[in-house]
Parts: sequence; C-alpha cells; structure tokens
Amino acid sequence: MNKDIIVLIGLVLVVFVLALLNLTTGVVKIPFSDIFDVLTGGSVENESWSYIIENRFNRSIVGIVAGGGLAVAGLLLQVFFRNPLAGPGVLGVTSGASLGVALIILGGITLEGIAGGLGLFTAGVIGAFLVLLLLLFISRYVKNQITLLVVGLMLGYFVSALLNVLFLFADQSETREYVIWGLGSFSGLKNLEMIGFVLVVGISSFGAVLMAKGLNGLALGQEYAKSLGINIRTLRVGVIVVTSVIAAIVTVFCGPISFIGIAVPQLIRLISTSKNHAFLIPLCFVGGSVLGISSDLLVRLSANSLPLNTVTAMIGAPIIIWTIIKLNKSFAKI
Amino acid sequence: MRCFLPLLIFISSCINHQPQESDNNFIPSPKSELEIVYAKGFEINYTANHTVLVSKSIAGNDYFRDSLILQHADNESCSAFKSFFEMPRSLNCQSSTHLAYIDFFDQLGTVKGLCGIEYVHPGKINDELVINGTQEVCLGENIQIESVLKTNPDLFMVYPFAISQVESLESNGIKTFMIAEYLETHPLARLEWLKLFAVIFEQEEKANAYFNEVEEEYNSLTQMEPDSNKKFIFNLPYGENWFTPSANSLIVRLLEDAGLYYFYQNEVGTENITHPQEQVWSDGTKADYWVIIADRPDDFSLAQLQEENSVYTSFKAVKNHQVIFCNSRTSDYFLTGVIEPHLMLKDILYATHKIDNYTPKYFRLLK
Repeated sequence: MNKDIIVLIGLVLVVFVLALLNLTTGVVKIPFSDIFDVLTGGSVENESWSYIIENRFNRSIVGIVAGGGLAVAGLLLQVFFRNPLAGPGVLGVTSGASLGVALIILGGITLEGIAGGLGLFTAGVIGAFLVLLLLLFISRYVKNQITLLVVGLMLGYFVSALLNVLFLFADQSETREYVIWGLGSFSGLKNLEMIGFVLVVGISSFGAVLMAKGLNGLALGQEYAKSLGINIRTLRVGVIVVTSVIAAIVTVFCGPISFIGIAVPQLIRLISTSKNHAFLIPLCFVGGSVLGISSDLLVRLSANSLPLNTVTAMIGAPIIIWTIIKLNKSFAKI
Repeated sequence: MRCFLPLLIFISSCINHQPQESDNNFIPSPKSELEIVYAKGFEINYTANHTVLVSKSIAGNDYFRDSLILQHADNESCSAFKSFFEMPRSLNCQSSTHLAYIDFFDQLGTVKGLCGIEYVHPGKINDELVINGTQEVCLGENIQIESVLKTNPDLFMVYPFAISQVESLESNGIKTFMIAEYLETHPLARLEWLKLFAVIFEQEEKANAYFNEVEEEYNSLTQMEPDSNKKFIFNLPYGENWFTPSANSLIVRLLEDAGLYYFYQNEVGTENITHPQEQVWSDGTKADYWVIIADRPDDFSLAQLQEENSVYTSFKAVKNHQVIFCNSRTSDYFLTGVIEPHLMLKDILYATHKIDNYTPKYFRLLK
C-alpha cells in the first residue's frame, strides 16, 4: 500500500510537471511572467497571448480529466466484463457516442437546436448507452469473454458502417466538421464548457469510487459477489451509466479517443499491488491523466501535425501488446 | 486445356474496346491560331495536319505531361489513342471549375458526367446541368468507372493528381485529358485556359476577344507595388492548423495586384503552408487585412465570425473592420470567378477603398 501511495504521488507530480510544460511550451514564445500574469487576471503586451494561454490552460485541464475519465471507464468495463481487453473503444461504446454525434453533425437531426449545446452531449450519451445496453443483452447469451469481446468489436464495426453511410450522404461543410472532430483534440473548449466537462467527468469518476466494494467482489466472480450481498443488477446499472456518460462526454468534446481506456488500467494493475478498487480507480484516473496530458504535449510539440488519435494509438497500442504478453500468455498464443 | 489458353489469349487480343472511327471526315483547321501569353500549364501547337493540345506540370510541381491530337488530315498520328477525327462533343469533368470555361462557350450541354454535382450551388449552371441530365460520376473523390462508362464520354477532363484513376479510365477505353488550371500562379494565366477550351469548341475568336478585354482591364487596375503597410493573412483554421496559400499562389498574386502585402511573403514552396493556430493568432494582431473564402450562411457577419472563436476579436483586421470575405456558398467564386479575375480584383480594390461606386460580386467587407 505504501508503494502504491508513492506511485500515486509520483503520478500526480508527473501530471503537474507535464501540465506546466504544456502551458509554457509552444510555437509562440511567451515569457513565464506573462503566463503568470494572465493566469492571475493581469494583462499582457500582445492581446492574443491571453487567448493562447487560456487555450493552453483549458486543453491541459481537458487532457488531464479526459484521460483520467477514459481510464476509469476502461477499468470499470474490464472488471464488469472480466476481460482485460475491454474498454470504451473496443466494446463499441465510443462508436455509439460517435454515432450520436454524427447524427447531429451529419444527419441533420436538430436536437442541438432543441436542447442547445447539450444536444450533442445528449445524443452522444444515448448512442453510448444503447450500445452498452445491447452488449449487456447479448452477454446474457454469450458467456465466453473472448466471444463477447468479438461481439463488441462487431458492434463497433457495425456502428462505424452506419457512420460511413451518414458521411457519404452529408454535404461538404458537414463532412469537414466531422473529419476535424474525428481526428480528436483536447482543444477548443470554452471556459464554461471546460467547467461543465470537469464536473461531469469528476462526478462520474467519484460515482465509480462509490461502486468500489461491488467491483472488488465482482473481480472475484459474479457468484462470489452475490454471496457477499452485492446487488449485481444495481452495479450493472451503475457501470452502464458511469461508463456511458464518461465515454459520451469525452467523445463529444474531444473526438473518439482510442487506447487510453484499455492501456491505462492494464498498466496500473502491473504497477499497483492493491486489489482494492477504492484505490485502483483514483490511481487509474491519474494514470490516464498522465497519458492524456503527455499525448496533448506531443501533439503541440509536433506543431499540431500529429492528430491526438494518432498519438494516443502510438503510445497506447505498444502498452497493450506488452501487457497482454506479460500478464496473459494465453492471449499471446491466439 | 493446353490448347485453350493460347486460344483465349488470341481471342482477347482481338477484342477492340475502341469505337470504330471514321477516316473520311477530319476536324477543319482553325480559322485563327491562339497565342499563349500568361499560362505555363498548357500549349497549343499547330501543324498543317493537326492541332496538338498539351497540358503539363509547372516548375515545382510533380511532373506530368498530357496531349490531345486534333486531326485536320490523315497522317501517321491517326493511330494515337488520344487523337480525334471529330471534336469531342460529350464530356465528363472531374472538377466543377471546368464548367466555367465550358459555360462561357454555351457548351454545358456537352457535359454528360461530373464529379461533385452536389457542390455546384443553385444557379444558372446548376439548372442547366439538371436539364441536361448530367450524371454524378464520382463517389467522394473516387471516379466510378461504371458511371463514366454509362455516360460514354468522348473525353474525360481530369486532375493530374489521380494518375491511377486516369490509367484505369484509359484501360477502359475512356480518353482523358489533364486540366491543371489551378497550378497557374497568375489570375490571367488561369483565365487563359479558356483558349484551350476554345480550341475544343472551335470558338477561338470569342475566347481571344474576351481574354484581351479582361487582360486590358485587369492590367489597368493592377497596383504598382504591394504596400507593406497593408499586410494580409488568409483563410480560416482547419482543426488546429491554418493552411494558407504559398506566397507564389494565384490568390496571393491577385491580392498583391490589389496592393496588399502577404504576411507570409517570405515562406517558399508551391503547396499550401501549414501554420499552427497559435502562430496565426499572434500574427493576426499585426495583420491589417484578413481575407477569407469560406462556406457560411447568406448573411454572415463580422459578429458571427467573432462568435466562431473569441480570439478573433484581438485581430487587427477585425478591430478595424477590414475582413474581406468571399462566401463560397452564395457566390460563384469556384465557377465564374475563374474567368472573371478583373471583377475579383475590382472587389478587392473596392474593399480596400481604392475605387468607389462599384457593386462587388465575389468579395465584400464583413460588417
């Protein structure tokens, strides 16, 4: 446990250092004193600098929170499906959220007009929720972990096919908007949106911590969990709601971000000695934050030439392969 | 089986995919020969027996060279794949920009297939395409061979950057010709491609007269030197980057001819230049003008532009109301704009208060 606390503190420090780097590094060289002035409400010589600093600050916060949220969602799904390869991206949850967003951007559904800025988020949540519900329904009949994972993958492909159809029939400006969104980015959130984003992901992640006891039992098997008096049905609803909301809000505001949700829980399990999810969930959140903020820093160091999705894949995929080989040799044989 | 294979090869080698062409009627020799002054991307070569249209790459671009032979008499070139005994009267176009040239000669009826019909916004040209039953022959950016074969064009005018698609068309017996008017670096050079189309439609005199008229007006409006106190930035971001034209691009030349000075004048290259958004945000506070060509609602305003990103309020051009805007949704910038560079120049001059009493057609100051 002591080692785990040191790891947690270490990761928090890494997040802090990376965020500071993200704030001070960029194409436009801004003196640290000016950055400090802007963050403390002062003014600077070049008016655009305040916008640049605000953008750097907001995207750092969004990167930290989005990475953390996706890692927590991945951990919940891995425990619930008892499958180390589960995650919002693999199981089609992200694709479901993408479909909701695409129906608004490409399909001309005017939910945004009705519900204001919440329209995209609502559509994303509904999409993610429906995919997860469908997957849970299928899991009643498919007990094998690998088969269920393949079903999730197929659901993701099916939803992607629907997205392609929408894309083909959309007009040029809509497809342009959708392509940009699809590349992924932690940038572009205004102050109020950023606060809302942090609150939603934060509350959802806290909700995950409240389910820690149930998750601890479930990690040992459904029957064992039942014998501990854990209400599996309530836990199931909790997992669906938390993962759908996190996957949807991150997908809506940042695009479909891949690999963080699978890679981080794997890595944390390797580093941590604890099996208690009340501790593993915060650890996963901070681990996801490290991956999120470092990915954004790499995007910016490449002068935005590398899309966020490419960077998370480049970091995440090797981690997944490595952990699969290390943790589960049976997977490596497949 | 041993006999079957050579037989199959023999039969397939005898199948002629080309329509049988008449060897009695030839294209009449042109009444007047056209001279190319500005354009570097094509040539018209005249001989006694044929006219050869050549399109080619311009320095700095990937190399390509393409030619069409228009036969005026029987000679050894008759067997060339891209030789015509009669003028092509059924066309497919990969770019809607070609429609401007074709429409100038009132020949839209020859366009049987087009890539991206949906992007031709409502208006005269669109109406004619609908009446003529012009077919969509592309899916996204990919040419659909079956759709092209269905329209059975005499000639498919293509971009030079889709070589594999061109090869595929030609292997199916479709004659193609590369049109790369967008690579030209002077607005009058792009207009001059009208002369190439004039040869195909046998309307050389009309093209020459119009070109001379526009050339005279354009040159009379051109300002002597770009004013370094009137710097401009260009375009809107795509994601987190701004893709701005190279300093020697056609649009930059047009704006320089109006007396403006490109902010990224010293950046070399022939392709678009990528700038991270932070850099343009910073430069935007220093640039006097901001020129935007974008698809926006009909009554798009300066206030709406600022709503797109609050950082724009810090741009000098926004503060001084010097944002010059062309709405590609409502104007024919990508169609008739190609053959009306003098009007675009006038628009810019009007926006920069160099001329008065004028109604702009393509560019206007955002209010």
